[in-house]
Amino acid sequence: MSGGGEDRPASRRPFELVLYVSPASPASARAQHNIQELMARLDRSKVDLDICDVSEDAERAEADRILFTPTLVVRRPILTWIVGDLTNGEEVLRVLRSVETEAMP
Amino acid sequence: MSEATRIPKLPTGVPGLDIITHGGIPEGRSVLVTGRSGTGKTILALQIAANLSRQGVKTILLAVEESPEDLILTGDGLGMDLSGAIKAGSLRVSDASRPVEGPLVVSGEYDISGLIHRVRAIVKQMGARAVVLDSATALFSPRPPQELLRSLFFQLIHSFRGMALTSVVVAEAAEDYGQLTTLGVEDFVCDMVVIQRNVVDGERRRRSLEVNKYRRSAHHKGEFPCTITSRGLTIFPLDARERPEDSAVRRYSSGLRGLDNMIGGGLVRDSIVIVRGPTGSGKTMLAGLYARAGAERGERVVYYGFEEPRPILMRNFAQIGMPMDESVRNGTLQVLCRYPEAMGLEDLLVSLRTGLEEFHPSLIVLDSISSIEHSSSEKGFRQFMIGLAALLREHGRSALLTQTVAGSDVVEHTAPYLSTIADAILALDYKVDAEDLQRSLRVLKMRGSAHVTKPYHLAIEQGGLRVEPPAISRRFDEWGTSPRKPWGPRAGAPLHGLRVLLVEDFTDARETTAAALAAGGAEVVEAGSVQEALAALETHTPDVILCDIGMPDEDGYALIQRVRARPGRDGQVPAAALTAWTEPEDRDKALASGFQAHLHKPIQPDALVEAVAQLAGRPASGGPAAAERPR
Repeated sequence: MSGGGEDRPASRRPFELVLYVSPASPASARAQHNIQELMARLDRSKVDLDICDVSEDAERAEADRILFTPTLVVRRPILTWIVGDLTNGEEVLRVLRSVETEAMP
Repeated sequence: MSEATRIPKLPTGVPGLDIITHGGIPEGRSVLVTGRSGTGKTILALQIAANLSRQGVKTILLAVEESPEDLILTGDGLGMDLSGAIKAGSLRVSDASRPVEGPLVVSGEYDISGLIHRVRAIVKQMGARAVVLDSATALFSPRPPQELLRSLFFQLIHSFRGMALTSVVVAEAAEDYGQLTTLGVEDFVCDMVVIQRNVVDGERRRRSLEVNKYRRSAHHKGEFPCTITSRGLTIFPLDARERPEDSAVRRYSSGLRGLDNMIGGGLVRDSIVIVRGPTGSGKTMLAGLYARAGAERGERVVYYGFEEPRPILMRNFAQIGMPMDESVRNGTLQVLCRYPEAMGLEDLLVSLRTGLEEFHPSLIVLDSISSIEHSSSEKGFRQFMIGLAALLREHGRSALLTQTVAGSDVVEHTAPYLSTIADAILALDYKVDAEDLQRSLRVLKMRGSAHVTKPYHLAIEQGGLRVEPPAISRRFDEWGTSPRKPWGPRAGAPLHGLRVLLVEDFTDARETTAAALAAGGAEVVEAGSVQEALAALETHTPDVILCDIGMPDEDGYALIQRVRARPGRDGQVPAAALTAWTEPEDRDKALASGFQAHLHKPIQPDALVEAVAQLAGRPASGGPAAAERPR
């Protein structure tokens, strides 16, 4: 089950990321900062990034099975959940690269 | 106000749980349900969720450990109808399980706001007032560092509280007795902690539930037996003293008139009687008399026989002249013979409960609890008895339980929990002397009722049992003709050495009063009418006369006037009227007629003994016995 993404307009970009954050959460604030830094190191034309505030769209969070925030859901190319403030950017990039490799043989 | 009523509570509807928690779980607070795997935590949590939603407390069920579908299936399978509650909009199951569709990586710090906001949204949407989380252990897996874990759990519980949710959180424990949960943080934050256990005890499994902590509320402490059936979890609370006090003591016949006389007229309604004695002392016969008398009064009686197969039991009753067939046929008596060895004790309790709910008996006989005792471990038996007592109290039923014990155990052996359970304990026994088998019946204990304490003679005869008082308590016309030495009254007893003439037309009342006097040490000469009393006075001068007033033919006034007309000492015997006529003018008339005292019926044995002692001019108690008067 890939959840709430299905009724959204399909993105043509190979990477689709949703970062779930909550307000008044230092870890969420850090994650938002860290994802922007990571985006700077990625080819923006290949990535769709959406930031979802769980306090505003709890149904989407439920559909994506979000329990902890921040959580980065990699919807495409391979469904992956990355829980945490993304402080270790290298680890996240490794995840993205590995899914990239798997997605592009 | 008792402490127990201070905080608002939500009844859980789980059988027994609301009794041991004095009303349920704390409203708007958090409850931790912990135990090893297989102890029934999820079942309890689902049962609470189902019952709360049925009571109109809209509930969110957070499915972490299992998928919502699996949880609903489990609940529906136990008759909780979670599906129905979901349809009705009173229950919402939210999938909080870990995603399995892809990998989950942890990178850096996080909090639990995601789940909190999800819950908040549902609360807003449906107006939920309770949340059940199954389980915290699965939610925090893989397990975060201890500090973070503590903080996450605190955030979660704190937010539930902030939303005014009553929360039930399930957590796993590694062992039955030890650290409360594997995570080790939950119990500090929760207001109430329930521990479920499932211990192998001897050859049997024993489930129990304990309320380990309940902030700001009294609760029953210790482990309570419980069982899981096709209808969910049932807890058997021992709660003997919690039921509302019924001020009026209602009595019913034990089926043995002589026994009724020993205990102030009969057994007390809704009480548990244990009849104890060695094999062959007449326990089953007494149990049979009890059951038959109930059935003949038109009560519904269930007789559980654990000692022999049903045809043999029925035949034995018929042979002793107590056929039961008619009562069985007309549906007032059920005779069920079981082998406890073949049934687990929990199953037996469940079958007893089912029987209570379906047949609605007012009297229950278990013959004998010893067969149950022998088929289980000591702890298992104790829990069974506690569960049984709770079951009987809950339904407000009367019961007679027989117990096989031998020798001095008959009087002395009382496991404290059995003593707590029993409202009355009767001991049957026999002694073999040179010629004879001497049977006896003794009331060891009887809550809320006066009773004689001496052993009475018991005879087994066609039609059942017969009870006779031990002391000289024979009709005047047998007086002197019987060479039999009475069982000697104790020296030092308040009425030792006194002879009392008791005049009373009503046999039961006369025997009860005679028994009380005999128990006080008196020799009692009984007369059933004024004529009989006068005849007795011709041959024996009593020390005290006790006389009823309202009697057919001549009344008590007539008797005392005739006594007072007699010359010498015979005319001066102190006398008391013992009567139900208690108006001041009755008293005046009694005293004017020649009585020295006017005693009201009914009278407690102690008061009677004291009054008689005073009439005889001796100190009420403890004083030296008066010198034997020459006769």
